[in-house]
Amino acid sequence: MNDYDDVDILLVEDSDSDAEMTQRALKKANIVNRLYWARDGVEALDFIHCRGAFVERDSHHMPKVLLLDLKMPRLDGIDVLRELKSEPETRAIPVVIMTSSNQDRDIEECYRLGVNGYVTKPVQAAAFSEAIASIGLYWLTVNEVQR
Amino acid sequence: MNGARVASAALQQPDTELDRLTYAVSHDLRAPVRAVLGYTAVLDEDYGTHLDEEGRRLLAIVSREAQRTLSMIDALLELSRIGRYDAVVEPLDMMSIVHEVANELAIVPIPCINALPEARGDRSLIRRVWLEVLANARIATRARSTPSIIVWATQEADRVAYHVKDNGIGFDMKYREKLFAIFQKLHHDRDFPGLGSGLAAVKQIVCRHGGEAWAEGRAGEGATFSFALPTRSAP
Repeated sequence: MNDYDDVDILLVEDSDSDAEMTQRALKKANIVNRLYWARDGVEALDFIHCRGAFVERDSHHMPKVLLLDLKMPRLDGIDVLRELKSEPETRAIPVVIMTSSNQDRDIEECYRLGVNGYVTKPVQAAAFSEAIASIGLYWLTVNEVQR
Repeated sequence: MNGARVASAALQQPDTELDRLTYAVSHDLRAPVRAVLGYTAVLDEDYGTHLDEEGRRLLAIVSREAQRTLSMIDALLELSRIGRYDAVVEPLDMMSIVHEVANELAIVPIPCINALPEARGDRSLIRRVWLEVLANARIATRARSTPSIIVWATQEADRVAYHVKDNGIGFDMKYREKLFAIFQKLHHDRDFPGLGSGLAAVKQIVCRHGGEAWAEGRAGEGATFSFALPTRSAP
């Protein structure tokens, strides 16, 4: 077993501050599940597919939820979502989009691709913490994942 | 064409390059401002008790100004959205729209609304115009002991002009060019709160419809805001 094998939350976020705020909010809500922070879509897909730096990761263990930003360098969130939802072995991984975009076309495209949730990052810090805590609680404790 | 919808191409297309730029800048600018707000809240939460009154006052200013910046960015985004919005031109019952908006704004006393001819335009955009113009009149008259708002229309050769007259704080005609420009205000916040983006939205919407928006007034003696829409769809 290596460091990546027991990851429950895969956070895919290019913004240091949003990543820090997300981790802080989860901690405050006593959600202490293992989180791995991927800085862009390429790293996220490498993680899921056990490639590159994650070649030794146990491919049978998948995160319980992917918190995915939309706009990122290299490969963005839509591309990650498209790839995950088009492959039978990754289709069941819950993906929640966390973005600053509330553009109708982004929301429509994500649902068309099969996203499990779409959340516009709240501006106010307290609302942001609450949103992250609710998402964390639901996907990590309430929701049953495919085994 | 009565009752039939026509293609959105009937509305004038905005300057798309400029519009895309505004959208991109506004969208990307939100992230760092959100970060300032987020870290300010964290600082307050974790270290607020270590600060004295002056320290907390300064922190509150940082937070308030960041919030204001964000509101301005959102207003820019909103303006950009109006330009990109896929509008649908249809016949509009202006009487019902104005009654609906006046009701929504809960203006007291109820504005005097005269007969208004039908117009052609996108319902949600034109509704927004009425919302801004009537909200403006409500704020302008809020300090008056007997506020009055009158709505009427005039039929011109190839267009209908709609007018909203109030007996509010008015404005100096010498600055009227600034009225419809974004973030330009003719009054201080204490007299007229807001960012100064509502009338910019009005102008953008009316221009998209091939129309025109203008205002007349005198400082301290009320104002009349008007907009005209072509009776035929823009080519």
